[in-house]
Amino acid sequence: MAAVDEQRRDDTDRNEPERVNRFLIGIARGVAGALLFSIPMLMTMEMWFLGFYMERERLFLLLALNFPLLIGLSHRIGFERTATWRESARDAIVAYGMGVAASALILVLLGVITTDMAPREWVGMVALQAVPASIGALLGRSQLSMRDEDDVEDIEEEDQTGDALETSYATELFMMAVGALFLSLNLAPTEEMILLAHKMTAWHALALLSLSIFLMHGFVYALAFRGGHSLQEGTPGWHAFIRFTLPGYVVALAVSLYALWTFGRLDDLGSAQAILAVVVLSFPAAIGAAAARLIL
Amino acid sequence: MTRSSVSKNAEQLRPHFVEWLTGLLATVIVLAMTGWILREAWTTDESPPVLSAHVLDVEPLPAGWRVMIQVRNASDATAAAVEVKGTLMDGTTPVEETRVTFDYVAAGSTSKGGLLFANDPSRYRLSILPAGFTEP
Repeated sequence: MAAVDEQRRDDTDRNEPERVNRFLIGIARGVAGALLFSIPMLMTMEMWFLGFYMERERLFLLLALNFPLLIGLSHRIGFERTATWRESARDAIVAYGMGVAASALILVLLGVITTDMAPREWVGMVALQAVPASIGALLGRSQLSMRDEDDVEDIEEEDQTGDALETSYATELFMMAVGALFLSLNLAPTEEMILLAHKMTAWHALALLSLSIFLMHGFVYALAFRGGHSLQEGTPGWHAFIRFTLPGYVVALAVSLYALWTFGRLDDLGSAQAILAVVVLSFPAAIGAAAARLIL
Repeated sequence: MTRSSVSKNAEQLRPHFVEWLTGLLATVIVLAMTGWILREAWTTDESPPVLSAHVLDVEPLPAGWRVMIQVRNASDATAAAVEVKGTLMDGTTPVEETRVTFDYVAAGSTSKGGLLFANDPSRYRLSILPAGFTEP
């Protein structure tokens, strides 16, 4: 018994430098991901202004919701293979921290944050930018890394356990929400979303809505991209349409609505205009959701 | 092989009834929204914006007075660059005039803003009028 313990300790010691190394590489990838995904927002004027004028309650809600989102994301992909929720939470908070640090650094470098600013201004700006940056930091590991073969084996083992049926459907919807949120955060702050809603008629909106759903379905099932989903033989195509594409589009609508509300874009709009704005933003959100199913 | 390949088989598992329930709910939501937009499409007329402005409140500031105003667009067409002119009149003589421009007043919506006066508006007759707009 003692010998076994000794052996185990030896293994841990030997793996320690390798583990630290892997964690550091994970962090470097995270920073790269944070920059890759948040640069468009860091260089968007509206995002700076929103940082200090958006309602604090909504900013707080966004920051609070971001944390469970990061944990969920980290549980699926992450800096490291995370088996437990505790490790996922640790990685999520690391990603959040990196998002804050990367945003602050870039905003200072760009001269957006200056020393004579009131804390209310720059704290709000950094906090707002940290949300997309932290998602980017987590995705960085997934998108910028080459996975090892043993990773896949472990994951397959892991997925065998647990309630695969419901988990995978919920996970699918969750990943769509992340994809939709990501593109929504890019576009919702810009004035163009509202301007487009004003320019479009209801007929334009209906056409855009149909195109969004059509593209969503096509991206995932028809075009057979790498990582595309295949249906079991004998399953009619409309099954996947009802079970995945339409719920996915509703997720995109909900995320768009939330993003527009968060940035105060719907506050003065009548219901007809608000629906148009949501449909406009759902177009990129739907594509983001479909892409997330393929990529993540 | 990537991690994502594992979950790709969500479709291939025998569908749980929750999936059909979600699908049904989503169909209802999308159809309801489509129906709403269709109704809008039928009932909308193409007439130009109909703008009106009214005073919300008047507050003294350290220097001058602030008049909060609200512009309403009752039509189905959105107006951009809406200029609102506020004038203080002493009888028929204008005493002071200020202007404010709203980026947008959306169809069937309102926008709020403020006019700043040096004179006390309560001592004169205050007129608030939308003075012009562009199409977005």
